[in-house]
Amino acid sequence: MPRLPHSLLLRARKISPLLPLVLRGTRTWDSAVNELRWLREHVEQTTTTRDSLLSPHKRLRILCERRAKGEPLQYILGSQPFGELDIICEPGVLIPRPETEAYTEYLAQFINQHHVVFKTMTGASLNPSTKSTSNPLRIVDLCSGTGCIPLLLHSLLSNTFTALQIQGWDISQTAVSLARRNFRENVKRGYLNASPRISFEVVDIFSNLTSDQRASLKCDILISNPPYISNESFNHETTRSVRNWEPKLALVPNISCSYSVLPQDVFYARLVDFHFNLGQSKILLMEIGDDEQAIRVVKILMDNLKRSTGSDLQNNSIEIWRDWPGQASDQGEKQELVIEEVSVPVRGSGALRAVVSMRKSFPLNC
Amino acid sequence: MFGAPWVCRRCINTCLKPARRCMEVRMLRFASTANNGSFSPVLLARARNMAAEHDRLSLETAESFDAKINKRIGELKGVTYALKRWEESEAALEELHALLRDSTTDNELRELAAEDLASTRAQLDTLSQGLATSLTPKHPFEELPCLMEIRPGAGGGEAALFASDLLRMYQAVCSRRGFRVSLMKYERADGDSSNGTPPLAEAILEIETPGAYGEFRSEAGVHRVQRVPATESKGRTHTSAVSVLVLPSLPTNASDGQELWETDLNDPNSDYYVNVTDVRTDVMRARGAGGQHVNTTDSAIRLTHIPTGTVVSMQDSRSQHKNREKAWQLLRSKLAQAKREAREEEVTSIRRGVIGVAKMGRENKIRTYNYGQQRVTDHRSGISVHNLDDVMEGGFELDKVIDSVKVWMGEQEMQALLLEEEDEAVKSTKSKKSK
Repeated sequence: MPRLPHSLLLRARKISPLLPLVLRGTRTWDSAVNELRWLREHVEQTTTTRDSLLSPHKRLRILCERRAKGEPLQYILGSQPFGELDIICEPGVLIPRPETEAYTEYLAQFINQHHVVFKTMTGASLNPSTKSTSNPLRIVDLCSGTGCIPLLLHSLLSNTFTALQIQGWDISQTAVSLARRNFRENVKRGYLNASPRISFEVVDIFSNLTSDQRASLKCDILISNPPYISNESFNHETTRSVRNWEPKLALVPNISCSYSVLPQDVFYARLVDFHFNLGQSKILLMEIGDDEQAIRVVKILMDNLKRSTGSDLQNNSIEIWRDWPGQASDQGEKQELVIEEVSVPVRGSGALRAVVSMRKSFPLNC
Repeated sequence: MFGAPWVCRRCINTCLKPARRCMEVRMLRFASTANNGSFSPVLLARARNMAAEHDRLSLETAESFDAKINKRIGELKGVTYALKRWEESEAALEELHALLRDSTTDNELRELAAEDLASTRAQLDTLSQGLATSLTPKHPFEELPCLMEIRPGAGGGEAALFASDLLRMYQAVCSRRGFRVSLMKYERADGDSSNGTPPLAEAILEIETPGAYGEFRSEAGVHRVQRVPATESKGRTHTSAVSVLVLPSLPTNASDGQELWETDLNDPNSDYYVNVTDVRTDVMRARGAGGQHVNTTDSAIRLTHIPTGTVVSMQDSRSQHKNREKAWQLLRSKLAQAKREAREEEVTSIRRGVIGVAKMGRENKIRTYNYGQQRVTDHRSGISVHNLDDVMEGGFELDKVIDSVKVWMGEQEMQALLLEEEDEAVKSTKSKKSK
């Protein structure tokens, strides 16, 4: 962590005596100015009974001191905007990231564009005799955390799809109850309509799944933001506020299992297993950490394709999405990667962020 | 040599100058279109044309309903009505004149007619004014809410301080008049914030009440301040400037209950249309590892309209989504304003040979706030008021200034219209002759 130059701290002090404190937490000038403003607004808006004896200035000072110790702003303010929603954040559950927001919105946009295909597909694959609208589009989010992905998908898709069935699974009881609370809160504030078909459950996806859970995995869309940081990388590459304040459970996989992959990739092996062997999901979307991991995950996908019978590379398409998949790519950013002599298209701009596998059993050309 | 005692220049000046009260009167401009009932024949012809169109259209719609035609009729109605009243009054005047000229009229009747004549003349005056205003084309954005951008210009920290004073002034006047305002963007400059007035780098005030654009569009321009700033230790007066930009705020979606706008937003020919593919969105984030490795709160969005190079950035909200919405709203407003200005520029360039039309652009100094003399002077209408404190608190004195500017603008537009009509009349007679 580079030292903050004295000139910067002095300049900050000239503006406000609290700004150097925030700057110690954020390390960058622009976000420090913004965060101090948001903290000030937060103090002005809320008057909790516990702190009401203190003056607003004193309360603001306490918050800034917490920020100076590196506590994430989202835990201090208790929330993080995510799309149109407002997600409650609490220590013990990973804070939703803007990249997650970007690819979730892009996926929802993609599904909305091809909603006719999806509707007929869900109708045909389950029961051709019933009306297609009566069959819901089923989405499962594994490692759901705050529940941000299921809730945002619900908010973005519920206009197009009258029937939706969304599930979020997480191993942590804290996360699951927070996700349920998030659903209730966003319904209360009018950001979501109270559809009954969204549920959060405590599930350990590495345990032996019950038959109900196996049935649930036979869904249309499987999406996941699993822990993907290696131990080494956790110690050296994560920022202080992530390392010290966010749950390691959501960041570093700590599972010993039979898959022959690197320890940070075990979740991907499991997800790919679900996608090809257990469920019949049409789309599998997985968030990944860096370029090398993207290539490793694509290789895992290809190995599984080769092994599993009936499906091959022609019936499946693999894509990599960057941080901002909706944007035009910058100069110098590759639009495709060649992995094991197969070219994989890369969308958007930014760092590699997600690997997407789609079945070509329905005519999708995006 | 002259025998007169020496008198200091300042005393002479005070003696020779008329009292301040008189000055005020002298500084008022008497430019006016009031012309004692006589009306420019060109404008009258235009009014008659419009009335004729109104009658024809109302006959057409008597049987079938058409929303577009009905809208046009609504526009013409005011002119038709004003013209009718004016013509009636003109006829009455003519009759009275005839009575007076007639030698057979008895004395009693003559007296009555003379009395009536004065009142009818006065009535005709007001009616011709009314006709003139109804003929002036309404500004197309008049009915819209507006965005007001306040930015310090030359003058450094003092300009930034005065910018926040101006912001407070407009907020006060809006709350007094019952306009709904919200601060859309507020950027602080570096500097001392301990004395309660944080210096301003840029602020955008959103006035959400419909019609706010018509109300405040005369406020666009450079506001000059002359005072001893709080930051000055030696008591010298500084002159600095703050620029105010007033943009029409366009409704973003049809949920505002106006279907009309929705069609406009998607119609390539309308001012409000922005081609989505022309706009580049940049999410401003630090380079480096992302995802789970870091947790940043950066939510800034920058939009660039590539054909015009217009750049808009927004980072006020924690939500990227909201920043994007706001940025789009601002970009739309800016582009619509630019399109309209370009069109007006075309018209004025045609007209420039005839008249030096005072353009009310952002580059012109429009008003001076002089704290030493407690005076506010508007350079367009020429009005001066001496209750500076009331103006800065957004009181009725500010209304007085704004209203005087609006009257002045109306006159300017009227004159422009007159010239345009005369120009056309000349052209049409020429073309007839050539035939």
